[in-house]
Amino acid sequence: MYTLLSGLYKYMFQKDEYCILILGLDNAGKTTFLEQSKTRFNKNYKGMSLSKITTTVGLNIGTVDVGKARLMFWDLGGQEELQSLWDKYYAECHGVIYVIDSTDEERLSESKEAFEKVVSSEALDGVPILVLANKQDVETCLSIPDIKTAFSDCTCKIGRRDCLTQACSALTGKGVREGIEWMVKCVVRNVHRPPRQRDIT
Amino acid sequence: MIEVVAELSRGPVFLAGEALECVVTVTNPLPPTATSASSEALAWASAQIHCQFHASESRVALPPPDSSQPDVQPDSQTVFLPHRGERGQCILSTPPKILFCDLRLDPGESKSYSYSEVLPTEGPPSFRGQSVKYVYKLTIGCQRVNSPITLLRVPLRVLVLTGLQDVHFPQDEAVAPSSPFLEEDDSGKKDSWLAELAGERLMAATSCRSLHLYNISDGRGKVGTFGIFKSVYRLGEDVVGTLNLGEGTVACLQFSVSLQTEERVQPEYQRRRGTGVAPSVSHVTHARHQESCLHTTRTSFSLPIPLCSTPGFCTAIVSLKWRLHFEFVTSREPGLVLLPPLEQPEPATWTGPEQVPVDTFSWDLPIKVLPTSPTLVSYAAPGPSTSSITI
Repeated sequence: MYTLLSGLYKYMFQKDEYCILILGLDNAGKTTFLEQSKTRFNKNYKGMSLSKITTTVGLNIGTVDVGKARLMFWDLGGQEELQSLWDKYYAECHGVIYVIDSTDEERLSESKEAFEKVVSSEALDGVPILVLANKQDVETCLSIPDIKTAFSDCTCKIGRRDCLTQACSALTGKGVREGIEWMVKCVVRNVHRPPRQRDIT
Repeated sequence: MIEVVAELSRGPVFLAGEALECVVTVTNPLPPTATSASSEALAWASAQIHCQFHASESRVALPPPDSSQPDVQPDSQTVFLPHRGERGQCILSTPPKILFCDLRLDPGESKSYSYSEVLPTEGPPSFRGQSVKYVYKLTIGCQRVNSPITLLRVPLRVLVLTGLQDVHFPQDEAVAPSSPFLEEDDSGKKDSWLAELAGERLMAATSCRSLHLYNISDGRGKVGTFGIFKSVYRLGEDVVGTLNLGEGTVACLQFSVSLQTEERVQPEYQRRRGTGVAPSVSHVTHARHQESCLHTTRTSFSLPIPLCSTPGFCTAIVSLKWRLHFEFVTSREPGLVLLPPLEQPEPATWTGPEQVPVDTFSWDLPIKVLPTSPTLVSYAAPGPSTSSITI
């Protein structure tokens, strides 16, 4: 009887844990997106000053609970020199969020090249990818169709996996919730990458 | 195990606006023939300069830091935060620069990387005062894959050449002319050009010599005359002054002169409490001269400005000013009472009076102290130019 109740307890309270990489060029808004996500999905999380975010070197870690799923975000530094480290995290991840700076037209091709390397990696086969066109709060920013056109070369490389392009502003929070809820649905139903199961302790 | 050594080629003292150069050497110290030899791997290394500001809570009332909006992950061990674990708040930092990525070292192998960054000119100088402290460091972060970031800290000292704007440059004085070759070749010798320009400005500001005379009087008459040739000095220079007491009508028994700094918290940041108010002004004496001067006609003093002290500066929170602080002990009696009578009809022994009624008064003369060559300061106070850590 104890075993039965213990099993029932674990079943009711266990969280499936998914690792989500946040990639993109430096200054695209990856860390701002992470902070905004924590603010929106974690009731007890104290907001932080978005103006204090500086260049990321290393790894920002954040955890977000959505329903029965727990998302572990790994926000990696986007400087060109640090991009060679991204692939070290591919094997363990369940989803990728690629952040684009919609106001930086000059570096759009650079961002496309980095994105192309990401989707070309075999270690990410079948992994859902959420493309965030960030900084949509800026009036002069590029629109979603403009960005899709710039990234059209990569369409054939996306292959058989879930992919969504979402307009967002990490600063204002617009589009953040929708993007994450989409990602949760995708990683949950992806049978090729089962979650890490952790009991709540 | 990997050994990381950071070396500042020119010493730990810099002028704001100069380029800081640091060589970082990464070594796998195992000998190549070791039986347990294996290569070591590092994910990345990055370097950043930052300035920490710390204020005494009993003296300075800072606006409460937005506690509802803390710094992003202030204690994170996975992201490079050069001020992690440091006291106070980081008020200035340069962008992080990646030294290397994905480094692999065989046993016995070493690799060196060069870091160069211009020190921002808008920051305060290094300063360890009673009320506030400004501390500069170069911090190098290294990370193995799947390990916490290790921080290597190199202490720096930053001198700031400001305040020159209100110093009048002498138009007629013949100051050493700048070399036209240095000015034309900006890209190649930008750093030495800046050092040269700073040196010239310092020379121009501090070489202006004209005798300033001050009458020193108390309530009852003239005590003497104080003469000083300069009002602007550099670190390491001597403040030289002369006192002429021969023509005074009031006898001066003793005087002292102290070279002092005055650290003052700006009015809007002073801590005000009903009881036990901590002073918002504090003084530090760097050098002192004291002399008994009864019967002295003329005397002089020389007070060295320590190279390890801080030139005058002003920020939004605190200001530091230099001054000569004089204290005089004068006699209330006319001078003749202190002298033996001129005519002595018969042999007798004369002794000075056992007690003399005196007055004391003080006088402050502000002076300006500017930085000097950082290389010179490095020699005088040899701090560590090399720091190392093992990962």
